[in-house]
Formats: sequence, C-alpha cells, structure tokens
Amino acid sequence: MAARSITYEFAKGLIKNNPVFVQVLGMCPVLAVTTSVVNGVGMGMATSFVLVSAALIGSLIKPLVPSEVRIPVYAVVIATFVTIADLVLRAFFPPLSEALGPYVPLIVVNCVIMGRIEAFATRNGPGPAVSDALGMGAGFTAALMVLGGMREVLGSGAFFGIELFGEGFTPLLVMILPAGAFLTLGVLMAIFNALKEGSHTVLIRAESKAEA
Amino acid sequence: MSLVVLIISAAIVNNFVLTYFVGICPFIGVSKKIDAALSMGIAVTFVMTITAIVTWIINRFILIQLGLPFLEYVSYIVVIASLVQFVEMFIKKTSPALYKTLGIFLPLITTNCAILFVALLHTMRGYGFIESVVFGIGAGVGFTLAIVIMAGIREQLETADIPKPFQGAAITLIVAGILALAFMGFSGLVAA
Amino acid sequence: MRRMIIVLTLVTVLSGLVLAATFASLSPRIELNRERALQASLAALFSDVDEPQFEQLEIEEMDIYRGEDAEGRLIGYAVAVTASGYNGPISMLLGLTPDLQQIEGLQVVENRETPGLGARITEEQFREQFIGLDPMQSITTIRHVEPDPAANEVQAISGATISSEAVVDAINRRAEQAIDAIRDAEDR
Repeated sequence: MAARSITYEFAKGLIKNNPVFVQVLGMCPVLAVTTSVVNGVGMGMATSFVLVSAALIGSLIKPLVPSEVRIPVYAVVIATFVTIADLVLRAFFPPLSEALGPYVPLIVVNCVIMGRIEAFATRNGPGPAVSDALGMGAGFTAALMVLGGMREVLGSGAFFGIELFGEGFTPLLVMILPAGAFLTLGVLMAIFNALKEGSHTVLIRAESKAEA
Repeated sequence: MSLVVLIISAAIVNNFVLTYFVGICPFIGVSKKIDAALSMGIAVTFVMTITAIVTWIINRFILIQLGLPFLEYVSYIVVIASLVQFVEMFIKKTSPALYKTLGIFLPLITTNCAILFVALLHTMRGYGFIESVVFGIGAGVGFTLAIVIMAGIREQLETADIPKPFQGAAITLIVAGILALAFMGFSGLVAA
Repeated sequence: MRRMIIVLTLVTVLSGLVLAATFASLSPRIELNRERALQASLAALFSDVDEPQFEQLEIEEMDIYRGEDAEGRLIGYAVAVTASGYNGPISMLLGLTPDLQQIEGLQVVENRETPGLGARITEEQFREQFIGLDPMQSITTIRHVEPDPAANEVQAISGATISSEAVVDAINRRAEQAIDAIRDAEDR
C-alpha cells in the first residue's frame, strides 16, 4: 500500500469511509444509546478511546504476535481498554455510565474496532494507525451525534437536554422507542447514499426530462 | 419469575434484536435468504446457550469467589472466542454437512454482540444457573425469529421497486423499524 | 506452538495487572458515587428537613434507613424497594412517617424504563400520588378516572401501565413486611 499522508488517514473516516453510514458497522450502540445527544457523544468518545488505544497497542505488538492467536490477543487488548473506560465512566461520570448501561461492555464486540485493527493498524506503523483510529472514532462519534440529535429533538422536543419548543409541541414518542432508532438510521443512510451518488443521477434525470 | 415467562420475555417481548439492538450486524448482513438466516439463527442459539452456561460458571466460581469483578469483560470475551473456535472444530470433525451450512457463520459469531450481551445480562440481573440457561435459549430463539422474519420480508422485497438510495442496509433498517413497532404489540404480555 | 501460549499468557497477565491497578485506584471513587447517590435520594425523601442524617437499621435481607434531623429527632424511615420493571429492575426508596402510618414519599434511585413512557415513574406527578397513603393497606392502580387517595388509589401513567403497576406491586409486597421489621428493630 502506498504511504498516504496522516491527514488523509484521519479524514477518510469522517465521510468517505464513515463506519456507520458507509461501512454499516458497530450498529448495536448506534441504535441503542442514541436516545439523546449526550448519550450518543458519550458512547462515541468511549468507543474512540478504546479504538485509538487498541489500534496503537495492536500496531506496536504486531511483530510479537503469532498470527494464529492474533484474534484472541487483540480481543483481550480491546476488552482491557473497555474495562478501563467502564471504570473511568463509573468513577467520574456516574449518570452517563448509568444511561449507557450494558452497552459500554458491548464496545468489546464493536466490529469497527476489531475491523480497524485487523484491516489497518496491524499493517501500518503506530502513527498512521492512531490517525486512522482517530478519524474512524470521530466519524463514529459524529454519526451517533447526528442520530442522537434527531431522535432527541423529535422524540423529546429537546437538544442537549434543553427544551426547544413550548407546551404546544407533542413529542413523537416513537422516535425514542426502538422502532424510531431503526427508522431514523434507515432514512439517514438513504440520505447519505443519495448525497453521495444521487447528485449526478438527479442531474441526468433532469436532463432526460428536459429532452422529453 | 417462572421459566416460561422468562423464555417468552427473552424471545418475544424483549426481543434481543428489536428492543435491545444486539446482533444487528448479522441481522442486516445474513438476512437475504431464509435458509441462511435460519442456519445463522441456529448457530447463534447454540453458541448463546453454551456461553450462558460457561460464563455463569466462571462468574459464580471464579470472578465472585476470588473478588475479580474487573476481569468480567476480558474473561467473557476469551471464553466466547475460544468457545466459537472449539464449536467450529467440533462440528467440522463430527458433521461435515452441518459444517457446510453453519461453517461460514461461526467466525462471525465471535463479534456478535448478542452473545456477549447474554453473558452480561445474566450477570447483571443475578440469574441462577437454570434461569441463565433458559435465558440463553430464549434469547437465541428470539434472534432466530427476528432474522428469519426479516429474511422472509427481504425475499419478497427483491421484486419490489425500491428507490436507489434506500436499497441495501437502509431499507432493511426501515423494515426492522416497522417490525419493532409490530413487536411492541407484545409488550404487556408478560411483565419484565 | 510454545510461542503462541507464551504470548497469550503474557498478554492476559499484563491485562489482569493493568486492570487490577485501575480497579484498585478507581473503586473508592465508584463506592463514593454510589453512597452519594443513595444519600441524595434519601435527602430528597425528606426535602423539608435541613441536613437530615441517615443510619441503616440492622435488619436482615432488607435495606432500611432511619432518618434524623440535625437535633437528633426522628423524621421517618426509608425502605429500599426493588420492582421488576419493563426493562429490568427499578430500585426505589419508600419513605415512611415516624409513626409508620403514612407514606412520606417515593424516590426512584435507578431505572431502565423506556424514556418518555415507563421512565415517567421518576416524575413528581406520579410519585407525589403516594404521599399520605396508608402503607399497611394494599395500594391499587387505576386508569383514566381520578384516583381517590382515601381509598389508597394511584393513577397509572398512560401508556406505561406495566411500569406503574410494577412500582405499586413492589410497594405492596414490601411495605407491611418492612414496617414489622422496623417495629421489631426499634423495640429492641
């Protein structure tokens, strides 16, 4: 693989290879904890911390690890950082820790993390590995934030816990229920697809209509 | 809580996929054909049940006994990873036919969050041994149910004219949303 | 093969050591958070008392706290009650008046109910219905019509009957037993 700049490795995770909207990875926390922006950001940060730490360690210990046991070894490394993240949340951010509940330990099996270690960190030096992990973490956090924001605004009529509308607004309860999570993510993903590919199809259609 | 209530609760009312959002990756990835979905469901149920048994024993007799609660996640993931490897080897040796259908799904199961979730929940809720096993079976049945229903719908969707941006994961998620709404109808069937 | 085992063992041992150190350094803080949350919920039950002090009574299998004000006068009791809610356990504190004849209040310490529906059991509108009810009598949940406090009735949250009933059931199951236990413990 040709060496690319560190900034490129960071930036690709935001849009081009966004782990949620493009790669459709790590769906469980994306759907489960995005009932509010704060929860989404908290989960995004915790995941990013684990992702960056595990990618760094993964790229450093790569030469020492026989390939047969690399999955168990990385799994242990990831689980270790997840436990650290969990303990830190419980010690310093108890309300957030309670809101995220059993979804913090589930970071262990977030496919984004194992995927980045396997596909990138172990094939590159620590510099690009960390940069890639930071980008993926940022892209993941951004996706959780967008989803959390939409669901909180529509489902509770608030943003970051601040009431937006007056008494007249009846929250769309379905948005904070499980069904709302699936629907919102489905629609967002379609919008993402449309923006990515659709822009020129729309043009072509408009042209063919004009011709007809 | 009676075991019947527990199994109905885990399988239907609090369906793992549709209310806890665990096991979404295979739910989206392996739900194009009913046969494959069913095989995946069976493989998951199988691994889930064994995981519930093994992690319960580890938690009760090692983690609690020795006062090592902070090793919960590490030990559970090691157990699941080795278990999946072991099951894969075992099936390969004993039943090549079964291996042919389930084989490709087994490695995917290690990173299926539903498996770890079973272990975490029975620990968190303090279930006894029998309860944990029944919970594992119920959750697996619920996963199978959800993924097979989804595959059935997607087989029909193939002939439908879906707008291009919605094709693939997007429409699957929206269908899942409607399914989740339908499953809400079961709430109140049993309490908790 | 040998290298595989060495690497795996090494990684696991290292991970164990790192985690043991992290756990040891953070667990006092985690304990403190838990204690603070409990104290905050206890104080919220007796919000009209300045600086209430609580002491856990020595009763087996039940967490019951005796509350006193700054001058050492008895202000009431708080009983830990766990309901099995829609998404898991709901842990609550039930406040009782010093004479054990009335409910002083209800606080939800921890819950996993659906936000916007079941989680509304934490709202004052639902909780304040319990104030003044008779803890020795069974409380009933009603829907749609106005509840009659004299008949020990509370209104269920619309759309969240399961959570509401779970709360009431748990109180009904625990209250009488707890009151007997308090009487026993205080006689001694």
